[in-house]
Amino acid sequence: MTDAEYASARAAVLAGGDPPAELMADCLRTVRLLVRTAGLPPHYSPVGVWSDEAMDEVCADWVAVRLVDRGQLLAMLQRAPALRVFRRMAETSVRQHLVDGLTRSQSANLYDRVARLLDETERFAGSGSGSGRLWRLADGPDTPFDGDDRQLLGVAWAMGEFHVIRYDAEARKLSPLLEAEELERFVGGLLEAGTMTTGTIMRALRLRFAIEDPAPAGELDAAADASTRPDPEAEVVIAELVTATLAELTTRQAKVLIGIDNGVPGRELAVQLGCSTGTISHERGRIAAILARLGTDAPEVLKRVLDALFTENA
Amino acid sequence: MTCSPFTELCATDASTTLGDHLSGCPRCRAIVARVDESEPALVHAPTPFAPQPAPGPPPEPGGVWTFWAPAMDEYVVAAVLESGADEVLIMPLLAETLWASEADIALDPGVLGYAALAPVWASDRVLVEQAVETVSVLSEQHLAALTAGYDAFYAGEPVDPGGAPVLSDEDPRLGAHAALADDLRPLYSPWSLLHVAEELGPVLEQRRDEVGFELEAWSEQLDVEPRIWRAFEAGEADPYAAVPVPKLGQAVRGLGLLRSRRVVELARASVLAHHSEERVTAAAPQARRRRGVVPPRRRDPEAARAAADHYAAALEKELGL
Repeated sequence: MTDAEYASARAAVLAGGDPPAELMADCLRTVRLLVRTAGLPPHYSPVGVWSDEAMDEVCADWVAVRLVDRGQLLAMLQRAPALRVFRRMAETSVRQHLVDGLTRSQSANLYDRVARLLDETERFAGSGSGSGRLWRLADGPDTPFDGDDRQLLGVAWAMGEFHVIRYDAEARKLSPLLEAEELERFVGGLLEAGTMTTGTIMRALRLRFAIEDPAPAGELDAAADASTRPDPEAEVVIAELVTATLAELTTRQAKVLIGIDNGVPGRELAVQLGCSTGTISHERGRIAAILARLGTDAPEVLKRVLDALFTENA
Repeated sequence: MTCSPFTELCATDASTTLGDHLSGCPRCRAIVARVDESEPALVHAPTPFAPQPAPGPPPEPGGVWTFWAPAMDEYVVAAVLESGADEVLIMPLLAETLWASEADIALDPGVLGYAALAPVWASDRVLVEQAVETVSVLSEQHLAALTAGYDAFYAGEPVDPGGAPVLSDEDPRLGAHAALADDLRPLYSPWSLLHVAEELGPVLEQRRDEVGFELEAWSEQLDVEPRIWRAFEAGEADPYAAVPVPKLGQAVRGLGLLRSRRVVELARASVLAHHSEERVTAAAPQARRRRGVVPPRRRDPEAARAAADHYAAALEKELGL
């Protein structure tokens, strides 16, 4: 597409016309260039590899979802007076579309983590039962938070930046979103504003980190069913589980895990880590619970988690 | 405590002149800190040609236009809140909505064809020559909402309906707003460069200082006597009598100022303020000589106005307006 053709296409769309075929062909060119030159990992592809068909599929999805449904084509054309500016904007949009595609179905995993965090962390105290159970900081306010979504989001933003794992190349459907310490900081910060239910905390997480609602259970089940996965996909899921497990382990749990693998007795491990044997026992229980959720993938994930921890320590 | 207009926040002395306000306003504090840190080295470049404006009526309140600035390669889409002969008050409309705060108004996709965000705090004035093309028109209801938001924000009142409030300095939206302000600075710069004074001479002097041109060398380049140029810059000389129009056009272009109606109006103001009749009145010459009094030049408002109009028309033609 030439600059003159772009100017003509831009004028046509701004005047209310349909985007010319040349413009859409240039969009496909942008997708192909991005895939070939930006080193995108294969798990960003809808089929696990970057074939021509995969690029066409990504382009079609991007055009349908972003450019048409969300009106982003019009927004970009309005702001891009020249073809090179349009291509730059289009590349950013495709990249964001691919990243966003990796974030679906995180909520179920996250809800489980938040519930366990509240249950198992001493600084959080609960009262009541069921979905109305209110959580507060053990040394924090005991009046309920009564703000609306706008105020809840304000509190969530006020805690500053968080390291969001889902933007990592290795993170996918089971991405834990926030590392264990970061999740605790987030929940603790929320509860400084008043007591909340787990549902309100999840609402704050969704608003602050723009998480979509959980995908249908069938999709999660399919993703977790190792027996039906093709090999490349299985690799991806294992990698995700490793990332998720590493993020979920606290620093002390990681050290306990290494100690266990090295055959260090609990008493000696307690001395090394400067804690009681009871704490070591407690941490072992938590590690076991994490591994138990991995099901049949546990041995392979544990092996890779230990590899990663040893590499990190080395 | 109300926030200052965008252009004032981006002024080089904002951190001192707005000190009281900055101590209590995290957004303005973040913007000023960001702008201070990223103050770009002044690189002198002659004014590039503006894009050809689309045919049709000029911007009017309620119009959604694209706006251009010499140092930006993207257009900014903005709603026009007020319009005058040489300037327009605008509110940018962003396609990125993630960083909405209580000082922003969200527009649903039905308004522009895509979800957008109006950062009320980033509203300010641009030159009418920066308007490129109209892309949409707001309904009366939406224009009223944006205008009310603008009025409320600069009156220190809540913007309705604003987004989630900023409650702490740790809020990453402050950094995002500061970065956006930094990006928008070039959009507002052509207007602010031409509003440092109410006559053209002092405006050109400030710009010449900024780009680091010595007066002697600059005068030589323009082929105007340094004494005359100095007096013009000091707001003490009549450009109609002292500075040929082509030289003034050369100066405007050479200093990278946008060729605009505002420049013409500043030149008109200079002539109006300093133009005087050459002839001395003939009344009682002997008596004055005896007292040693030199008669002042007579100010003839009609003649000054005629000279100003003539000079402005010639400059308008010289600048291609």
